[in-house]
Amino acid sequence: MGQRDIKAFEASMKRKNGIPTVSMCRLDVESPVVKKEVEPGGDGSVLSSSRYMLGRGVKRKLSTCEDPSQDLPYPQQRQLVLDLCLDKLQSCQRRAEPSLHRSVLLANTLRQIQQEMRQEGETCFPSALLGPSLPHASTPRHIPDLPPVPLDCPQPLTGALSPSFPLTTADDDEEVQLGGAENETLLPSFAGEDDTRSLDSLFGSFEITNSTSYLTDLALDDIFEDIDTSMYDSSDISVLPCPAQRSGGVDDGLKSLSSCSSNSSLQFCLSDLNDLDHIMEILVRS
Amino acid sequence: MDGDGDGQSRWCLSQVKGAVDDDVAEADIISAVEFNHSGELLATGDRGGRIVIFQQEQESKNLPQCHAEYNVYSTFQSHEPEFDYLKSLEIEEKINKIRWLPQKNAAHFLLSTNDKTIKLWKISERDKRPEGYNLKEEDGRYRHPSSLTTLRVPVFQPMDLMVEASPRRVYANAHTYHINSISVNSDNETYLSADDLRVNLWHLDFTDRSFNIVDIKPANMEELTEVITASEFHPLQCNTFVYGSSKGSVRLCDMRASALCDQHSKLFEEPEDPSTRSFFSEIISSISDVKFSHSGRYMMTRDYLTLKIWDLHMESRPVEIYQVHGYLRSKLCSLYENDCIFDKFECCWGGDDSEVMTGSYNNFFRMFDRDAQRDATLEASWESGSPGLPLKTWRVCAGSRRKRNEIGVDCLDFSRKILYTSWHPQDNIVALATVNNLYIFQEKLN
Repeated sequence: MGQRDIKAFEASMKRKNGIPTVSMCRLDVESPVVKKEVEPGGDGSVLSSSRYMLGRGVKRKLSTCEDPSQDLPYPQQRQLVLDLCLDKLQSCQRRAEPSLHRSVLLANTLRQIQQEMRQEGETCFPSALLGPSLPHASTPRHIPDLPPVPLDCPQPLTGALSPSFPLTTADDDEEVQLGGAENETLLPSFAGEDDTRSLDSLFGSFEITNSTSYLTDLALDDIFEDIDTSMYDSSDISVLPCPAQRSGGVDDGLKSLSSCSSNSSLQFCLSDLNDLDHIMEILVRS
Repeated sequence: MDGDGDGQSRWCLSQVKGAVDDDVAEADIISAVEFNHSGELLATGDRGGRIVIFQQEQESKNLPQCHAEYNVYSTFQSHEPEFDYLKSLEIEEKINKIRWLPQKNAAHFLLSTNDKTIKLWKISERDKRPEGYNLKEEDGRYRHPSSLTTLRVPVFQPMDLMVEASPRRVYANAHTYHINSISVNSDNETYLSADDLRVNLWHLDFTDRSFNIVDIKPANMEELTEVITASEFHPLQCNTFVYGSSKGSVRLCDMRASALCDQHSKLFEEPEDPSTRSFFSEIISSISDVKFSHSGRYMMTRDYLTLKIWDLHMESRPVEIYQVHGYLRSKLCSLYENDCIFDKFECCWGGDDSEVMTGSYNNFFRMFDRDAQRDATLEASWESGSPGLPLKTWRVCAGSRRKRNEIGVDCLDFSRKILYTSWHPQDNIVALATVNNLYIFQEKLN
């Protein structure tokens, strides 16, 4: 092999005329690469099909010097990692495929950093942070705005991790109080009675429930037969209470419920939604 | 090609499967690779829930120049996407693991799993069909009674080979969390499946029940700090299995000790080196794969930066440690930022346990010869293939230097990674998946 230029390597992946490129095919079509004869690219129509619409991952290059975080002083390194951690934990909830493994690792990293910061107290906070942090906003400076639901993930999360830590200690109240305020801006607030539940709900949200079997096992006709829907037109179908993160899924849910009912499609109005809510809650809990 | 004696390995590219296009559909990305117990079949699973099985060509198998070509044998849709209505979440159809059952008759059986459901597939050949029915035409229509004048008995006639895959069992609804491992027991009757918090034991014949043998779910989920990441049965002792955790420890359990194996029999954990401690120490210690040696004497674990070989008799530390890509140690923050630090690499043993291999970034893979204490970095690239030509080895150096067969760590492409690998059980043939393609490498024989 001659000298290898990585950029050229990428470019050469595309077919070029005249170069005896090896021909590859979809996994379910045969064409061993080591054949000498050139197989024209056009024969495998599978290759140019609309399947290959998604771009492959863009090459991600690390910076041309050492990891930039290495140059930062330790507290700023730590802050960077903390920020990243919180960002990732937030995005965890929004992901299509949430990973419990990843969340646990992130939560542990967060906890470790917090413990360290707590142990060091306020002394290592860079003075630059004092200015903007003192007018202590409800949303800490370093935390991006959180979506209101389902979880105020970072805020209560850290509270849950340190439920017993006193915000002010007996010794040196003033300093610690200041440090406490800084703590609150750099880290989410520690206080909160419902904090302990939030990690629970964070990790609990990863459970794959056996909802599909729930719905198919139940005799849906019996459950819904006391809901009087005769007044309502079939065109007045309104939104169901379940969160429609995927509209296709909600439609499927509607369809499956419809198919289970005797004749006409199930129709709901807002007042009946509360009944349905209540029923669903019972079903989920049982 | 320079006749440079150094920097040549004894491996050469045998085949590449997959599109040459840079634009690969998400569904086509390979997510599992596994040879069967004879090495004749090679199964791959992808994110679209499909399984493609390749078969080694019988004729060329015995030729001295090459081990064989693998050609497509069967393709089928193993898993479909499902929807969890209560959480409005889609359950991915991506195949997480494939494990073959040892062959007992003409048919082949494999277990495949996505995040939630495990399926047992039977792959069988049909090369004869009955012809000459008395009452039916060849296309199945019934013959007119008046046209029946003689009695005839159908006979089997040869037909074009047809390979059929049929689902024989579906093991569902036993896992609340995402399944990360399956492992067939040496008793050939049971297998285990592991998710983030639990390990379940199944009997292959029964789909309506499974036995929970490990449960690390805490009473309060906010106390959760550790998850199960990989699990495997011992290859010879049917009562022994191991599971690795996100904290870098591996627990060996004996099912004879108690019904619920929450108490481990052995705990394999290397004490942390305080000099290398960083924010990412725990993340990079997370076990991404655990594999027993064929002999059953050793166990190999893969974490983010190293491969460790453990003697099952010694829990305190591994007997061998191999640096897969130690040059990444100074890049951990960037790798954390771009999420690569969470990548889970597999590893595998060579047939005689003398060599091990695992994947890395930039489409590199690493071969470690345990006996000779040598290692090599090879690249999975379709440009490196000419039949019989040995691959050049690579070196990764600091900065962005680029020379012949040397590449700077800053030039590595972190989107090209080799996570899934499998080694032929007897011969030196390895199969590995890059994001786009399946590569098959074999040892140069002469």
